[in-house]
Amino acid sequence: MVRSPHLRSLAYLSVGDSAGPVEVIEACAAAGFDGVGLRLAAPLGLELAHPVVGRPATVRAIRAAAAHTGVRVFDGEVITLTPDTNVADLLPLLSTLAELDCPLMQITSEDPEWHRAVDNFARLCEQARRFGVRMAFEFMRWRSVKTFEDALALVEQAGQPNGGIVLDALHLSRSGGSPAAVAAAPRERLLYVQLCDAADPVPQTGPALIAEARGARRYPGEGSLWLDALLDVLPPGIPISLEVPQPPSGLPLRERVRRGAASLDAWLARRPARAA
Amino acid sequence: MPSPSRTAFGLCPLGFLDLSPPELVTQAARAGFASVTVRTRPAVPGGPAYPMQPGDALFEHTRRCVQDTGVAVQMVEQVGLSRDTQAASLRPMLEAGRALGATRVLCSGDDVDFALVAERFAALCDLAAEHGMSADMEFMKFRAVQTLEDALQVLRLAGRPNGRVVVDALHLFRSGGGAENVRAAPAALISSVQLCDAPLASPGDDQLAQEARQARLPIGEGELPLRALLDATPDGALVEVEVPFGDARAGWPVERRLALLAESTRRFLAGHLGEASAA
Repeated sequence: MVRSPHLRSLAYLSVGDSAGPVEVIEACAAAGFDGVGLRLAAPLGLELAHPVVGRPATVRAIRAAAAHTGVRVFDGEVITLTPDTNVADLLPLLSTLAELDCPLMQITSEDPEWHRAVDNFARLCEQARRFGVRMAFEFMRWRSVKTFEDALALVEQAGQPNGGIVLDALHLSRSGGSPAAVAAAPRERLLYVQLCDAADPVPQTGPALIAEARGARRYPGEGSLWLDALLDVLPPGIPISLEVPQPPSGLPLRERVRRGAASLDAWLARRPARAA
Repeated sequence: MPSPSRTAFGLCPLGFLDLSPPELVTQAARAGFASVTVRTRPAVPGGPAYPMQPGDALFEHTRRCVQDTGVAVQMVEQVGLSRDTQAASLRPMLEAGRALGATRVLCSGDDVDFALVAERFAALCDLAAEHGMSADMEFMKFRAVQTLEDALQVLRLAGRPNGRVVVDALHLFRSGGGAENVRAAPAALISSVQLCDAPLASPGDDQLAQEARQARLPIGEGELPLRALLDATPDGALVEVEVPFGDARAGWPVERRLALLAESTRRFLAGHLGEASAA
């Protein structure tokens, strides 16, 4: 098989809290993933099942697992901007990203005040840059920054070289976006893509959309999203993070991760012919 | 007693010797270090160093950076004391150090004859006293003055009021010492503590110099009992960080390496990092 030009990482949500970081890294290595996403900051209102920041022994174990397997910590999730965001409070997280040699951190916004969110994002980017980290904004229809256009405007207004967007195929679709909308964006702001497929019909209510994003994503090629067209308009070789949460199935972690990798690789292998 | 109010820390140049002193001061300021040690004399013959004297271009540039950033130069290094050491030849080094604001000159003992080392050390102390500075002896397992007790013995033999010791965490633990040795030493004699982390297991005596010069870890990434060391460190001692990276991070941009070192140290001093909080 021809080696994919894309770095292929497994998003945190694909395995969730079912296993700790080291176990997930080892499963990713066995499945052939190049990278892994870790949940390093808790979403609003949630607790971390596997805390990393401030746990030197855990950081050491992750570093050792990454070095030993060659699977890199590709991205961390997720910072949520709020009216109370204090950038200084996030320095331990940024330092941990550097300790893990993790180049990307996801961020989303629940701050209704646009200018404050832009300002906090800009100052966070300034700090993150010192630690060699790029901040990847994720838009979701049910957050303050809802659409690709919102996210791009925020990132551009913040004007930081290490600020960009993580493009989640499902969020793009469900917020009314399309590959055409992405095609005109500055390439350097498109940091990576979170790939999944989804089936018709499109959910019509907020709770149904959230439920779909967290539990009804499908492997690429198993739904009706325009994934080929999307990848065609993105920078060649853009890193791909596979984000397909699996329903409880009783399958061992390694088997779930292996199926994800096999499905992504099969879809990528089919692509050149389709994209022609 | 732990000193939760300790928040300022300095940067040692090892690992950053490709930065000239003005660059070191500027980068240290950006990362949040309060002070630096500058190497104006090589640690080994022919080694990297930035000699300067008051009035020359490098000195003036360094002095301007110190003024502009507020980062203090605490110490100048390094004087390997041996049979050949002539204190008088060190006068320009101390004059420049003093003029930059330094209050300490770092030395090591490089002759197994401690009486001789003590004599040279006494001469260095006297010269340092002329400049209002202390002379600080650093012990290393791979030099002649190997342990904290060795260094204290040299101090006793020299009998100078401005003679002190520097405790480098790696040298302390690799020479078989620990926090209890620091606690047992007279507090006034501990000039500074240089922090880094490392695996608990020694790489073997023949590898110690190599490890010390190019394979240390940021605080929290290794297993050294640094919390106990910090608790044993007298309140007045200077705390510095000395971490030449030995892994792929050696190739990171300076800014990223320093950001990581400053933040891990800040967290450690705030009590949030170290073996005590290990998962």
